[in-house]
Amino acid sequence: MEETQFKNPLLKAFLRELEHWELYKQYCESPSEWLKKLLDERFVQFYIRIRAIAYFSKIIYFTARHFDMERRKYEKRYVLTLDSSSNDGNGSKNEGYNSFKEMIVDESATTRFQEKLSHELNQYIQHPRLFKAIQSLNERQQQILYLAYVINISDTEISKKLNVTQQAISKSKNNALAKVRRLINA
Amino acid sequence: MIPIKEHISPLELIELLKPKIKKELTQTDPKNRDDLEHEIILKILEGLKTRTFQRIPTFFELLEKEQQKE
Repeated sequence: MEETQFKNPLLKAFLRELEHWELYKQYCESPSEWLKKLLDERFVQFYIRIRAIAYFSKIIYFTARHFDMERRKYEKRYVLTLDSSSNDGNGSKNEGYNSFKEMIVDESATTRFQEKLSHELNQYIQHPRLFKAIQSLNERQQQILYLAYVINISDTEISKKLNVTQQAISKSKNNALAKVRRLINA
Repeated sequence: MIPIKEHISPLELIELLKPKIKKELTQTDPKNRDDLEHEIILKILEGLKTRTFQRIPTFFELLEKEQQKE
């Protein structure tokens, strides 16, 4: 199309619309006051929309920033006790955010959350190959892996629970992991 | 001085700006989004009432400039 002759991006964009282009062509062929007026009018309509969008986009941006800033300031000043962090923020980054309201015990509950969870390690595995590998471990190894990775407690704690030394736990855990690794890679 | 409100109706303006509003809404947490949307629309309407543009080039001015360059 001939419209590429224009370098001014505004003119280019304006004439890219077919209606405007038709008007302009008509005007080029037979210039008249009436057509000129119409074109000018259309251009003002077009131009003002672009300016308005640019201008209000900035307003929207700053309103949103400002809104968030105010909101944060407000929340910091008037913390709702139940929403505040139970471990003063230092644990919230690595341990997942725990607020007080999440620790409220539901008195009316008949079963506890933990009881609903399975105590079998293989109930937590999705990957078929890994599942097979886990199945081939003996029961004790499965139990140790369950305590270590599902319950997420340390070797020392496991050893206390099972009444053996911490070294024994470490050793059988490592053996179990090595075996699993071997089986997956095979 | 050309007031914007003579050329764009509030509804049309908000419709034009919808995508931008949506985008900015995602940067706050979900529970505050409705509040923010209202705030933004309020600001837009306020701006629309008062904002004027200094001068708008006419189509033929731009056309002339373009032709002079060549």
